[in-house]
Amino acid sequence: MALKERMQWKQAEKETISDFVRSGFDEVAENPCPVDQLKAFSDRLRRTSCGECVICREGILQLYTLSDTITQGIGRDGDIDVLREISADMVIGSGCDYGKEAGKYAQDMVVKGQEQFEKHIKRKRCDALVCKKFIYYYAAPDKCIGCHQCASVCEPHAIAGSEGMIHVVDPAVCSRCGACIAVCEAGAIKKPVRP
Amino acid sequence: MKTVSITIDGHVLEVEEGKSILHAALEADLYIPHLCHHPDLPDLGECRLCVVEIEGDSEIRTSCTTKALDGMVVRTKTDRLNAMRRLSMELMLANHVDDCTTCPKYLKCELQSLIQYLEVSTSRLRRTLNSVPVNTANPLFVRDLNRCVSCGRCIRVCREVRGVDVLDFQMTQEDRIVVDVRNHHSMAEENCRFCGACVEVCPTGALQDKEGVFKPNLNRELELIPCKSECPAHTDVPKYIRAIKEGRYQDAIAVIREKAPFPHSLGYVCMAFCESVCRRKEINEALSIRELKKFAAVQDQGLWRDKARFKPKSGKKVAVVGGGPAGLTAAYYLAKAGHDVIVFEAAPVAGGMLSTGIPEYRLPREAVQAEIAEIEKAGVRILTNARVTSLTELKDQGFHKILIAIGAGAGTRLPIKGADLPNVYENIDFLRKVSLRDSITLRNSMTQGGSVSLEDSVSLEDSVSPGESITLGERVVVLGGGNVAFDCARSAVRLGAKEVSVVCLENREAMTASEDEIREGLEEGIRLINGRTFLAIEETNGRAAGVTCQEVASFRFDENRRLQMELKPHSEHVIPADTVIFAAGQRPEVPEEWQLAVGRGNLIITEDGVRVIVKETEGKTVQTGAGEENSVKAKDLYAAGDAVYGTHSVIRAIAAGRKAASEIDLDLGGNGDIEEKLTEEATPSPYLGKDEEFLRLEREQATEEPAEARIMNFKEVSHCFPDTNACSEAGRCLQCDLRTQITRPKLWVHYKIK
Repeated sequence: MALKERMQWKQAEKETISDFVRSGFDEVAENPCPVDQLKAFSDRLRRTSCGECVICREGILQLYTLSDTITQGIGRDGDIDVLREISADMVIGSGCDYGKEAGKYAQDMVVKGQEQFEKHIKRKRCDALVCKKFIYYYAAPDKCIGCHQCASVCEPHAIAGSEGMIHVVDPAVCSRCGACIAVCEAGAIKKPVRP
Repeated sequence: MKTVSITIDGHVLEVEEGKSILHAALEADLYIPHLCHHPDLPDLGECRLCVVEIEGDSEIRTSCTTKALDGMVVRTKTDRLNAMRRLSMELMLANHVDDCTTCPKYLKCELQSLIQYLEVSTSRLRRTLNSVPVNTANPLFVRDLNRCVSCGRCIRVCREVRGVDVLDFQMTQEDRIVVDVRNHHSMAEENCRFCGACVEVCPTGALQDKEGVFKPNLNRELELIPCKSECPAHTDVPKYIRAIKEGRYQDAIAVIREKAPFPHSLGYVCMAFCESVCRRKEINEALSIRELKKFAAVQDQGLWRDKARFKPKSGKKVAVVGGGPAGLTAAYYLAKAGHDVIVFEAAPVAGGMLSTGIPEYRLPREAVQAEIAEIEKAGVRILTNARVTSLTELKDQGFHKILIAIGAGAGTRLPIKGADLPNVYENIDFLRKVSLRDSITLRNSMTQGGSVSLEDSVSLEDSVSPGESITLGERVVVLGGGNVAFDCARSAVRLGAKEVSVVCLENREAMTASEDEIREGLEEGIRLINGRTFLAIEETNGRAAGVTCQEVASFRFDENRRLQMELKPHSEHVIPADTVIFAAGQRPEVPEEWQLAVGRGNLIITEDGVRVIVKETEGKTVQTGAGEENSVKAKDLYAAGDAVYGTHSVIRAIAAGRKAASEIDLDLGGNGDIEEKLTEEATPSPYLGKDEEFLRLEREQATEEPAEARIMNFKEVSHCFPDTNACSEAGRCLQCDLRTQITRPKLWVHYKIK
């Protein structure tokens, strides 16, 4: 088993830390969904915490776990308050700038994206069409030519139909991988958001 | 010492400069929640439970890492701080199993206590527990990462206090930080010293001692130092082992002497209960504690005498009946407590089993005699050939108290046909006759060391000791499977018997004889026959000619402690013999006239292990043989040693003698304190350091005379360690006692201001 080196932020310069955290943010800056953005950001930062302080080690992990469950459509009332509380405590209570900086970005994402967080939790909706759990693929009956290409590339076997027939995607099985969209020459596979 | 004045929650405290706010508060009995803080460890402020607000400071500070400065006004319990603490706790608990009741640390857990104090639950948060199997791979500790809160106390104690540095925060494959052995190795691979400090400081159930390593004991020292608690006299084993390791041999012997006046004898024959519970045996083999004790005794220059404590004369007289280890030990401490003590020994030589039971090849008589001389030097008078028949007469000689320490000196013959034939002997009688001959040789000519040469050994005409002589034949059969059976058998070999067998009921594993005894006996040519019951002793021309045995398939003792055997049918056979020795246990010989209440095995019944009960309760008096009712009251009679609890060990007899001395001293108006400090008190260094060889060090073996040579005489079989071996053996000690130096943190309930 390869050994992984642990970062040592306590000895690091303030600037090094803020550069590092900013680069972590930059990677997700273009993400249009704030929930998925927080999930990606916290997943990245939790892996490079030195892990010694509770608020940083467990806090970022909890931010990740919470935002991940929200993108999975199983967010709960009160999750936003917890996210805000954790990120706020990280800002004022972290042992070093790593947690403080990470907290600031996270706090910002939650505050600015509050409306989107609520939509994810209450209406199971991701306006940016990023959170796959909220996206339902289907083959438009007026476009489908029954070529069966989509079904043959679908790894979870979520598409029913045979040659010459209109195909149907089972949302319970579909993994939202998008392979069917890529092979559909007729452009029949769509992913609108369920209203 | 410069002090500063700070105010914490309205309490004004004068604090030594340089102390942390947390330290100052806790010292003033003012509780601030904390978890990663431990009084013996450097603080890092990781758990963030001890957060405080300081007036004029916009930042929240961890009180463990913030120094108290003059004029500081600190608040510890604001809503904001309480909310932060609760969140920190919730975050830890999200990553922690929640089955407190099944945890071995239940009710002793600092985390659990904090949950109670902060009234938190995890319901708001998502579980982040990364379930991993409980690690039981190392021999002494259980590591359950599911209960770890990564407070890092184990890491700090191992690194900062012990200097061993086995543990660290480690990254898992899933990029999570956990506390683990460096490089994800096993503890042994990282050269753990198995001192137990990590377990001691763990606030949760993440690090535990394996079940059975320690026996629960309310006394923390005795619980954590098994060798010390298992020793009946509670000898401070780790302390003298450390002294030997550091070359302070005079300190080592002094430590042993604090608890026992027979260190050298013990070095030869102690049953070493300490070794049976030594934690080192879980790594490879137990420490050779007895050999180290012998080594320390050999080095004795008597410097401890300068520190020995003698109390002023009390004017009280005590008679000790029986000069074995129990009686002599009691006499020694009573004399030191200022009492006038006379020991009455029936045999021609003092020492009890040390002089007349245990054969000389196991316990050289010079060692015993030197230790008895030391006891006499303390003021004890020992009368030999002085059998006490009447306690009343003794009392009439002006003794205020009488201690009965007569041992268990009567052998027992099984009630089978032929048991009383002339060439059938009892273990204890046989050994006494063999020994007394030696003892007397020793007494008369101190330098010769008294060995029995082959020419005169076959017929052991005993001209000195009264009673019938023992004529040893060529084929000796010893009936019994304990150490005494081997003492008889090995003595018989040395006396020239050609064929010696030990026959016993138990199978090899269940035998009570020590492994060393069995091994050495077999090396000396003794035949061992297990799983036999004895039906009769065959008679030819009025003498025993063999033992009829039957094979035993299995046996057990029923609820009435009666033996239940399953015999193999038609397996009767005769083991030919011209000498048969019963080694089936001993019992005390308590004269009927003493009127002492005795129980099973003729053992003297006592109230509290010391005070005897006299039979007829009316008047609580003892009747003498003549029937005159008089003077010896039960309150003046005490008993100790084998006569009370049956045949056991020398060290238990010593412990019993100490207890008796203390009780008698109390009853004579003393304070009952017989403890002595014979060394300078020195706190051992908590630092162990790295040592790659430590776990690999094998138990040192004492060199032994080859079997061919040792069966020719009664000279000692096993030799003392040389200096280098003693030091390296002592270096194997895990130093369990260091763990008792670690402070046990107080829980919030113990603070005045919560």
